[in-house]
Amino acid sequence: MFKFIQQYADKIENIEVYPIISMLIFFIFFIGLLYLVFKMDKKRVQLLSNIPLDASDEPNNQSI
Amino acid sequence: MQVEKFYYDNRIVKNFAFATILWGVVGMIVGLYAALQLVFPQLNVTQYGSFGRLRPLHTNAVIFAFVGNGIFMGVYYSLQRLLKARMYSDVLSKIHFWGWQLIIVAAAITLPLGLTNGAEYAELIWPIDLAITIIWVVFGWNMFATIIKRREKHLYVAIWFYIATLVTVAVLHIVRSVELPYSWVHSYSWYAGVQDALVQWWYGHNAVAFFLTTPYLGLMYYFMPKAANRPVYSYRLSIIHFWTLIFLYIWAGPHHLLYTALPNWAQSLGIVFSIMLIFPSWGGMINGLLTLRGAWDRVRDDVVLKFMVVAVTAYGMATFEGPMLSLKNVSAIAHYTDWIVAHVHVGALGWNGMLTFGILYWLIPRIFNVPLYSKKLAANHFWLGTLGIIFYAVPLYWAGFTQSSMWKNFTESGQLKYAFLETVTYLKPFYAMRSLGGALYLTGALLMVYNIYKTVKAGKLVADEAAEAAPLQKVEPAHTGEHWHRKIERKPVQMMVLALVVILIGGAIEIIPTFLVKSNVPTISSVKPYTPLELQGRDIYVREGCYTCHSQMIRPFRSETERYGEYSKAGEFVYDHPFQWGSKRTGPDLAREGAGNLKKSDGWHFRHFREPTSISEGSIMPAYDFMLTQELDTSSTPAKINAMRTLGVPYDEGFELLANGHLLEQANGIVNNLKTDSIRISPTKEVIALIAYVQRMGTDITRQKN
Repeated sequence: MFKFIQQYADKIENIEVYPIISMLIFFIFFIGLLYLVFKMDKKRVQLLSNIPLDASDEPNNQSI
Repeated sequence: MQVEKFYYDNRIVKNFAFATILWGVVGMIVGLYAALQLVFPQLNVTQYGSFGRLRPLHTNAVIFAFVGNGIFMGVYYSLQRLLKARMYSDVLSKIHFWGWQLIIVAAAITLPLGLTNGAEYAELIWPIDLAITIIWVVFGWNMFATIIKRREKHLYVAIWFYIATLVTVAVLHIVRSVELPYSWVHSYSWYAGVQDALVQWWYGHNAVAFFLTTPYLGLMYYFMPKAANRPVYSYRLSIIHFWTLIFLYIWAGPHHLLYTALPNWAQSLGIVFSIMLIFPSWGGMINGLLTLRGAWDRVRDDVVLKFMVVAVTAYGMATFEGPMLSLKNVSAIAHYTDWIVAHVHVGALGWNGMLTFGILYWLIPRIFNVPLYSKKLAANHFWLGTLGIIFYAVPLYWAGFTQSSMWKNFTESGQLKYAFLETVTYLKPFYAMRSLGGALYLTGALLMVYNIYKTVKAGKLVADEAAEAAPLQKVEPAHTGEHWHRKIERKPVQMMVLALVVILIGGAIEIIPTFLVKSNVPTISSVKPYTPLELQGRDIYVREGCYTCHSQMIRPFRSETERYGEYSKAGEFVYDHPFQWGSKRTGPDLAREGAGNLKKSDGWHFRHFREPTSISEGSIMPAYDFMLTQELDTSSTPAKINAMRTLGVPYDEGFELLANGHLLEQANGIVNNLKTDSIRISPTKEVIALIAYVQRMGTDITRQKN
């Protein structure tokens, strides 16, 4: 992959850092996200995932 | 705490539901007709009904009218319930509804009239672009105001998907629609050539991502748990799904431009991020399917769940195929062929279509307070739909792979084995089978129309559905060490800003360097602006939607350079507003149509436009005989030259006044050429301009060689 990019390296200064920067941004973002998500409190997770199933918003409980 | 009584607005949900049904059927009928035109070209009746104008009508109808109204139906239903609040303003809801329908009607009128920007999925002309912006703001305003007055503290994951959709579609639409109007209905794209291509596919791919995918994922996260009556499999996974999906999607656009004149570094970025996309996409699919854990037995009897299972499975298939297609070696085979058409239809028919149907069958009986008229009809719809997808996709996969192999086939002596036309006539049976698939799918949809009509007639709309909930406490006790996401979940504005930042990173890193760095588009000194006649011809090319079937981008493969001439360079397109690289070769590439071995006489083109089959037997190109009688509108020439100059095309000051003189001179030259072929025609007919443009294509490079 870097071979393709290097063809342009002499035309755009330091172009090879672009994909590296992008990967780093994503990687850090992703690791941070994983860490924070798995730190979430189990009870909260349960509460949140049950929001759509709150029976009060279905007064006419039809099943088809 | 005092419980408040309030009412959900079901009327707006009903309106959008009926609109999605109506436009869905219209979009499918136009699609089926366009598919049949590829089998029976005589179905191209009049200029208003030719394939090049109907295909944009089909894609716009399905994306913005069918899926668009489907999104709004689902959002207006689920948002109110997830927030325990009626929509903020009934007036805004109504403006949103009627505004969107007016936009659709305007599109349905302007596209057959040939009023187009010439960019796929962004064809609508600038006044409609403006209207879309206004209506989108109305939608956003209504949504955010509802979120702010909500009674539920937390924002469920579906709402994040809606917020990301709102903000990203706004950014995409604005950046793609930067154009310079030169009349009340015409404009030129602000960008040219390679830049226009990058913006286009950054937009185009993310229209798939943020119009066809993220809002529907929001709907999946609401309606699937509802229909299965159990919470989503993993809420944690849904958070990861959301953030990684919106982060990665925005980078993936350049995979539409592999092996083109787009700088390689941008292509590579597109590939890497497209491959990574498989993970969040499959995370989402697995999350959807596993929501049915322990309820799989119900899928046998519950038609709503059946539709949803097929929808989520189709999502999984399409999002596996997408990353595979972004590999350069796979793209080399699949690009420009019907494989891509099959791929997008697995998404549109499978994911969007089936999920919409599932939601409709679940929702209509509820808001009309009546059981569904016929479960059996719905089950038949399910089977017709599923079979329709298979009958649609399989022949086109086969056709795409076969045609690509034929294009790349050489004889032992090193000649191309097949003429382009041979590969087209070979595909006709596949096109016929595909039409059958489309017809099955449409039949299923018509069954649904009947079924829902009967259901609605038997019931009565619960326009205002009573509900009650405690109001949100205004002052939140701030406790330290609160989880970060807990904070964001409660703060929709911060959520929106964060989503905006995430999507802007990808867009900015891709687009800005291409614009700033001159060396991204090496200039070629022999590339000159179009003559006034060629410019007029090019605008006819755009008007007729020639780009829906012809590419103007020769990839650096021997099989292409042998067939079409030297591969395309970025510098050749610097005056192309808009770019016309195309994405599909139903007909051959035209980038060098006026140069080298491909050059034909003016008389050849004249006869070919009048009746393609008289020159190329078995051709499926529509006849453009109306251009032989239709007068070229030369009054627009000065405005066009001025607009182009503003965009940076180096026409001399004052040239706009001389332009029509040049135009007539060049036209007379073509008329004289045609005379030698015993064709007599006035120089101001449209066909003359189109011939001038076609004869110009690819000649810049040849000039350089000489």
